Amino acid sequence: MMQSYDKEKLNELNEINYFSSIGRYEVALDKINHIMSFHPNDGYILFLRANCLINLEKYQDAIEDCKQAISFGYSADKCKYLLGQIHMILKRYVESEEYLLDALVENPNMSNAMATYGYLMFLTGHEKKAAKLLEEALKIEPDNETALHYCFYYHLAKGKHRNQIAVVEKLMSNSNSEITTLMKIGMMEYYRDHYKAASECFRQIFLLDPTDQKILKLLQRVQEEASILYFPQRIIAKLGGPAVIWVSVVITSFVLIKLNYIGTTLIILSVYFVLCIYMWLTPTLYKLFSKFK
Amino acid sequence: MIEQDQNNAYAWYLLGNEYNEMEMPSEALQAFSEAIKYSDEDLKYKVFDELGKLSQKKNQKVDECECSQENNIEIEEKEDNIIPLRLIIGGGNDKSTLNYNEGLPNISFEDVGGLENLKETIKMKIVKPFVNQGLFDKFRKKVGGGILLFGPPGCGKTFIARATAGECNASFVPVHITDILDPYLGVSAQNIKDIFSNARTKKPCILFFDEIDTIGYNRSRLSGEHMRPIIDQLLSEIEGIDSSTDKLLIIGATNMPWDVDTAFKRPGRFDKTIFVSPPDQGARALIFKLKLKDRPTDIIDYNMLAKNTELYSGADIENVVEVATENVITEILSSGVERLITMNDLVEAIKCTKPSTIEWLRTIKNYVKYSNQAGVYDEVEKFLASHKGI
Ligand SMILES: Nc1ncnc2c1ncn2[C@@H]1O[C@H](COP(=O)(O)OP(=O)(O)OP(=O)(O)O)[C@@H](O)[C@H]1O
Ligand SMILES: [Mg+2]
Repeated sequence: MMQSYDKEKLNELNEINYFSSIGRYEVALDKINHIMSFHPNDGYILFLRANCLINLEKYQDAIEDCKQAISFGYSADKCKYLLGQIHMILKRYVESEEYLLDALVENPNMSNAMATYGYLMFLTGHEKKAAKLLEEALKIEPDNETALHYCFYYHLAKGKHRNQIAVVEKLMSNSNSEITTLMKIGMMEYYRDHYKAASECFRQIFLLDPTDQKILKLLQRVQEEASILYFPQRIIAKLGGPAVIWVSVVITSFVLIKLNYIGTTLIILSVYFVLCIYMWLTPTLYKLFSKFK
Repeated sequence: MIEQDQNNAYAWYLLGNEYNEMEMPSEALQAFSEAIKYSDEDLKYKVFDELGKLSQKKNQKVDECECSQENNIEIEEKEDNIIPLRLIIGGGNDKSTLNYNEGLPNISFEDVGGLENLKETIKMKIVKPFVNQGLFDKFRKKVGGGILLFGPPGCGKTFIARATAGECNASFVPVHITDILDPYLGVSAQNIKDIFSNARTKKPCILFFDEIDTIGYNRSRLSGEHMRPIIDQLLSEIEGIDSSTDKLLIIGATNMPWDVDTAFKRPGRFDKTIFVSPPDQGARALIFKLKLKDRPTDIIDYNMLAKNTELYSGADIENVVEVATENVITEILSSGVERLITMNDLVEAIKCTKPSTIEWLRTIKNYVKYSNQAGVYDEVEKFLASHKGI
């Protein structure tokens, strides 16, 4: 697309792109609003603003800007793809599907839209279709970051470790955002119960951007789960969760009582009781423990 | 006339006007800066006036030559929505308009409340080498490397950098990423060169890199490798400074130290990192006194005010004074009875404001906790240890 701006506007646009690229969306937004007062009907600038707004989690405003950008003639495929993404974040899957399909009609080779659509299908329970779409997206563009991103989460949910590793390896050689890859390695380790390794990944991400509250929460949670105090919980989870334990304790006790092993039953029940109390107390214990440290 | 009296400000001023009329702007500029050095308040304003006109003229010229160039621009779009701009024809540098300290009121350490340790460090590391240049020459000691100030917003990083320039009678040249950025990469690199060569003509001079966290390749983000050559250019310029001969010093400031490119922190660059903390009680009292100095006040208990403004930054205190003053003026306007600013006004103003440093302090607290780096953030840890409630 060709478009002409004077030197001053060009400088500003360059600054806007720069500040977006280093994650300073508020600064970028201020500058966009400034330039917008001179070019109120510029679809491209509206599209840039929508991008910033998404990153600032102002989804409703972003939607408005996207729609306007289309009406001012900015590429419909890009805008519709963005609209699809926003609606997916907002869990409005029906609208999201509409927009993503529209984007793909405008541009059938848009691999990131296809991958996003694939992941949407996975979220809504159409696993076969999801797998096909993701595969197709990577066929069009094997190194597409968005496609790799959704592929990874698909494999993560399906528990296919080998595939996860393959995707992460590809991402490492293609993405220049360290956070994206670290995040995936962290998730992978987390789901394989390697809490120490996972928390190390999340720690590194946090140090790259300590203002990110979500990462901080994740890091704290993983560190808590990794703590020795949660050892019984981990064992229980491996055995199938608290419900399974409860059922088996009840059944064993019944059987033992029928067989007249009253003493053993009492011991089992009291162990179970102590375990329950311990599990109830662990969060508090953990807090005390980490304060002491 | 000048030959008779080197320190005659008025003579320099006249000379500047002379050059100005002869269309020799750079000579004029030099004469005016000499004039500022020796002039009294009255004359200073005249000089500033002339300087203003001079820089306007310069800008006009730049504009003229730019209008004559057609800029054809092509916007190239990439998949990830970050759209790099490429300039095809044209270019030309319009970053000749950095704000120099000419025009800003001169401030010195006296205007900065508290921060005694920081002032001492700056005196040793910056002011002394500037003033005792001979000593450093004699021992062939290369004076180089700058200091990096970091801390919560509004606690006086920019302010003390300006005061440092005032303290050693140097020009103060603030540099911001937007002074460097240009759609055309070659121009960005040229901008950096220009900034340094310009600073060298203004010696003694302090180059101040404000918000240095925005300059550089941030490994956490998608920022493209294409910034790399610009950073390298900047680093080599910084390393090329020998402050004792160049009379050029660098100070950096940031409130996001975790985002500062590590390349900036190596020896010979910004190798001394200093924490600018929120003012302690004594400093807060001083800042209140400073900010209320020229306003009509009743008897004020500064210690009491300081006690009630734990963790307030200098800027927060300034804001408290503003709010109180505004309230008093509104009241005077409606009642028609003039009165002074009282203790009560200030206490009320404190009640409806909050310290703005807390969020930053919480962030750095977690950062320190998880970074396991010994040493770098010692000062921060000390501060946090004495403020348990954060
Ligand atoms: N120690 C101080 N003494 C006197 N005034 C101060 C002090 N600290 C801050 N101020 C006042 O607060 C204002 C803001 O300070 P300044 O701009 O230097 O903050 P900063 O640390 O650079 O903040 P930021 O990180 O947001 O850039 C100054 O203009 C000054 O008036
Ligand atoms: Mg500042």
